[in-house]
Amino acid sequence: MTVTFDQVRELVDRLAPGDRQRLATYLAQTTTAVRDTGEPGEAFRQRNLQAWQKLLAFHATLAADYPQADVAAQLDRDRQERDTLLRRAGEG
Amino acid sequence: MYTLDANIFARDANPRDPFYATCHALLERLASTAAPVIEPGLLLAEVAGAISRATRDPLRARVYLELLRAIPSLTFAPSDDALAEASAYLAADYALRGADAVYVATARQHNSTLVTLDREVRERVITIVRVLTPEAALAELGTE
Repeated sequence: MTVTFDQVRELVDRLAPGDRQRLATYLAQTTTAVRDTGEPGEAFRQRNLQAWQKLLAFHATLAADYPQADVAAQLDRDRQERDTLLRRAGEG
Repeated sequence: MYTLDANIFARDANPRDPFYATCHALLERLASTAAPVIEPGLLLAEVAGAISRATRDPLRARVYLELLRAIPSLTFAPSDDALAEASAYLAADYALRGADAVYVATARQHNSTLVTLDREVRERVITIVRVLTPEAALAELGTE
């Protein structure tokens, strides 16, 4: 079934303000690439893939340069410590 | 759209981690599919802090932030009053830790699927947000 723009607009008009805001946020996020760069889909995918690959390469380099460092364990400890501090502050 | 717990990124930096293979495969799949990811701004501070504290190398942590921000399919939700309030109520109502509540609130506000290794979080919020393990998210995204 094909949905027309006018049909969608009519439905949007019926949304609650909060849901309309969520829809606006969703559309803004999913169309960022087109709006900001005008890139065709394939160009966006390639640029996106390269950016992800840089991040994953960074993870690998970090692991190689700091074999004893466990970032995930550090993150868990940080969260646990913060939670404990907040709970103590709440009890005090 | 997916919202990944910070630990999924962090575990990819340790090949000895028991969840490394799954987390790495998931990040690779998100890269190849360009599936949209939305994260709370808190992710940046959490991971940068953990990298800096674990390696004592603040410059690396700075570089990491730039790499995260440069990914076109990964956006950061604004840390506004609405998110803070939603996080606080979720933390109270579902007995979540503060950071976990922020990820849940972000996923809920943006109708995103939360992906986390934390079973306790998954069990507590399954009625209010779509939540998956990294394995399940990987299966959903399919294999190449």
